[in-house]
Amino acid sequence: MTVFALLVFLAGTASFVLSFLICLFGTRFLIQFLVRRKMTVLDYHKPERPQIPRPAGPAIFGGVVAGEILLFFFSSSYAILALALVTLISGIVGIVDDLATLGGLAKPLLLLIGGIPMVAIQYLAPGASVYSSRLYLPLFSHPTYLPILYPLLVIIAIPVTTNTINTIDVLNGVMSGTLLIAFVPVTVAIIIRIYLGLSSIWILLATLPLIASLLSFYFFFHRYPSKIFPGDSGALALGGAYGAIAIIGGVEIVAIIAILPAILNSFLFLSSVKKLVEHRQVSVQPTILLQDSRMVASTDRKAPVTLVRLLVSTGPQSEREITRNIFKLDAYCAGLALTTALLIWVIPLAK
Amino acid sequence: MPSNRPLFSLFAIFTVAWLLVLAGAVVIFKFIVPFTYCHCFYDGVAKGAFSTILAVIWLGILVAMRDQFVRKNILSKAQKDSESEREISQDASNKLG
Repeated sequence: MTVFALLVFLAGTASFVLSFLICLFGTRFLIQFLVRRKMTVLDYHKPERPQIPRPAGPAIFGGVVAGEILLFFFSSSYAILALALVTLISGIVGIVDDLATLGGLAKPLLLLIGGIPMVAIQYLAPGASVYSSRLYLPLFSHPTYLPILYPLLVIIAIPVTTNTINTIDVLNGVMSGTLLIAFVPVTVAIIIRIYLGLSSIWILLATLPLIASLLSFYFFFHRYPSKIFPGDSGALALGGAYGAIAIIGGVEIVAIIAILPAILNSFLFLSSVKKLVEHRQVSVQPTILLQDSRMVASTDRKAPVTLVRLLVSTGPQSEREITRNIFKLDAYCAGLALTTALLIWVIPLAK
Repeated sequence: MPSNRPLFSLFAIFTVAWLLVLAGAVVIFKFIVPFTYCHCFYDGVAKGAFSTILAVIWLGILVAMRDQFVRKNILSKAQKDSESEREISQDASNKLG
């Protein structure tokens, strides 16, 4: 084993374990702290209506940022530093939103700051290759070079991904589960790019702190029945980190396809309410909660269209059934994203 | 037991959305954006306009699919339920009468 391979192995293992443990113990601490402070919300979809602490965001993005910073010291990769900063800024905006509730327009505007570190480091740090400004498209072997447009897309991408991931945080475990499934094609696409010499091994390692925090949070706390909710801080930080990975990994289109259920949910909602509003500001609810805590689609024409409303359109379903169906859609889109990766990097080269 | 019909319809919607994203990305970023007619301001405006028109058409297709789904699965069901409720109340009033 060469020294470099040993270094990569050590860095990957250390960042994974550190992120996993910080998220695990940090969330455990937060549960006790938030319950003591009575910072809890009602879980409407359970018959016993339990009070659930919120937010777990600081533990989630604390784990991700710590892992990324450790990796930065091993690799000196500015892309990883940018990823850590995007996650941190998105998480801080999320904490402000958790504590003070930002408006439908104020939140995306504040999240625009999240994309700035990536563009700033790219221009200010000598030799920093945070992104390549080259977009690889399906069935074409040569990428399109976008020197002016790409930095603008980077800045816009962070508020879009953060808000998209935030809108899919509808039921127990859905947001973290969706992201875990989405990371399968994204990671495979990054591996393909490394094999082709288009990406560095450090970018693959940069996904590890995120996957570690997601695994720890989903399996110990967030899956049905949730012990804690991520809150806006958790959802926005994870969304920001996901968007940043897509950009520094050069797997933008694959990452978009992988979270298509979240994107369509966001699109369905915005296109039916026709303005940027918070879910809690909507007067007519998309679903009706029955006595037995199952959900059924609202037949009110003014009710916003959401993924959950479409899923329960032909009959009432329990929270667990809806979550399972959303994961089936996620898995289907992960398959589409893998196909996209083949269309972008494998098939054009085989021709 | 709820039927799997909405899930299958959503798989179809996602497949269409996937094709739209791929086709849209190729058309915009491979053909519209790199194409340079003149190095002037209008070049950028034309690119922006073409990309916007394409995006609006694409979103229109998704909105049409959404409306079709809502009409077929939610509103028609609500109409059927209200009609059957009306029939039941009609039967009850006939019996009483």
